[in-house]
Amino acid sequence: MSDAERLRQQLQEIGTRFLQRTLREIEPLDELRRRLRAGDRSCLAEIQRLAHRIHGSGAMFGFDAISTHAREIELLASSDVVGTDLLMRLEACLLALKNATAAAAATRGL
Amino acid sequence: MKRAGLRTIVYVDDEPDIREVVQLSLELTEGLQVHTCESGEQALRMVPQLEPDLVLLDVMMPVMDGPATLQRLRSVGSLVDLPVIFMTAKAMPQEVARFLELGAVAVIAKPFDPMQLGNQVLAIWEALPGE
Repeated sequence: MSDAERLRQQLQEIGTRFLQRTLREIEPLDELRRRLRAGDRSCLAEIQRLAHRIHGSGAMFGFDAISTHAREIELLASSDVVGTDLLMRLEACLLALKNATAAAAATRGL
Repeated sequence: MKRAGLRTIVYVDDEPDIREVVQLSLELTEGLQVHTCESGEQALRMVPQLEPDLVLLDVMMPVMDGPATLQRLRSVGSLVDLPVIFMTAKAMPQEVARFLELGAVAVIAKPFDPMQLGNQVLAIWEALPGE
């Protein structure tokens, strides 16, 4: 096996681990959203941090839909104003992220 | 005068998957040794000990981001001229200009191509003025 082929295989494995971890992180993200809805604005920074990570790694491994939805969440969490509109959009983006992650995971038999 | 060959790199990123990808990608280049740090704070401890030829710094990290880490590294006497490359998704021209003003020698946009990262870094290294 050439070095390039070995790297491609390793990237595939790391990408699968990324999907597994992202699947586990959806629920904590949703819990943060619930706390935000209840008025805990301190959750915004953690939502932003998690979403930024998923956005960056998702793009790295070619999971474009996951990366796009995570980016939307990251941008929403950087907002200064937390209103009903933002909370509804955040909920929709989280659902889209969950679905995109599940779809990608299914293609890898997860 | 041409710079000596690139032998040792420290890569700093809070994201473990990206750290692993960068390390694997760069180590495809024969003779290149890559160390990784998970935070700016860890880099401040490790870089003076390792004395690498080059540091690659992620921009967005919690607690101490890339620019803050660069500023702190620069305050260490022996690291004043250490070449640092920022790696970031924020690679619009005005952002790149700001990072270069802060003292980075180059900016690599994320996401990067893992198959090409080694060549990209080597090209930047070879374009640097001699020591």
